[in-house]
Amino acid sequence: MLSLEEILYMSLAAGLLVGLALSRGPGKGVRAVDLISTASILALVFSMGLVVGSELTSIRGQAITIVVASVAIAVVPGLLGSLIAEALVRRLEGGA
Amino acid sequence: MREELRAALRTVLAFSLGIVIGALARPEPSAVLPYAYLFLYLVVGAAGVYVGLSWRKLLNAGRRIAVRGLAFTASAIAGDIVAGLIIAVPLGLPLWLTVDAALGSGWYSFTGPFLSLFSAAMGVIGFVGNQLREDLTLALFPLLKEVIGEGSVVMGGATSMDTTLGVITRYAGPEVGLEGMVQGVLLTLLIPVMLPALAHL
Repeated sequence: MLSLEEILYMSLAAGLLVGLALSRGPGKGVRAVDLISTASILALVFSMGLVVGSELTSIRGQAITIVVASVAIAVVPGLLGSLIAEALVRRLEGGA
Repeated sequence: MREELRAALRTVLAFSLGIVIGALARPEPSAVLPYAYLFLYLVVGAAGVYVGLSWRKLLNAGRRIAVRGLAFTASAIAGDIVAGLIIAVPLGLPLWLTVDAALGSGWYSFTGPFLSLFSAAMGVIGFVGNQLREDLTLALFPLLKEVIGEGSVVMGGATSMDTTLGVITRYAGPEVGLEGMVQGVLLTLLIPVMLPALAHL
């Protein structure tokens, strides 16, 4: 039995190969990929909502933590990474 | 930009609808998770297809763009890991799952559902936090670019290969847009590998 990680890696690799094959063609399959991607994202997010909803009573007590952590996750990693990137790029390009 | 907004609204609506039905029907997570896994594999597979489709463009990008794109990717990962650790400790959240939420780099449709397999609360944080990161990039990139510089492409994270590519190219130019694309492609390849590895630490 394959683990979650192994199937994820295989899905990614299979998708990559399909994408490489499609990039050589006239681009007819891209629309189908868009459709599958959108539908699977919506289905995934909906099923995740179901799981969260079913456990709503158990996470209700953590509401403030969840809000603060969500805002922090939205802001801090991107800003910190941006500052590191700017410093790194300036260093790579000799302070230009 | 309107299409990105519509896509974001669609996912928020699907998530909210799921929460309402889940709260009313109270399904056993074990009954829902097998389907969630299946959709997760499809989402990751489709992301792989988009990376494959962009590959040719990246191969022709040139050395300078590749080097700067790699620097942006490394900075994004470093920033995400450090930020995850900084956020987890004071809030008393699970350390590596919080790092995972930060490492999602804006890819909310993968990070949220993936983390909800471990903890409902972390799933919400991974989803809402990364959705907000994408929205903030769309709204604030022009300002960030002026204040921080071109390094602010990192704010877009994995989304810089698709949803935020337009705003990056518009305000920082086509060359930086390509560098953002290198970052987005590499992060899209790395996130499904890094998140499961860290979640089991």
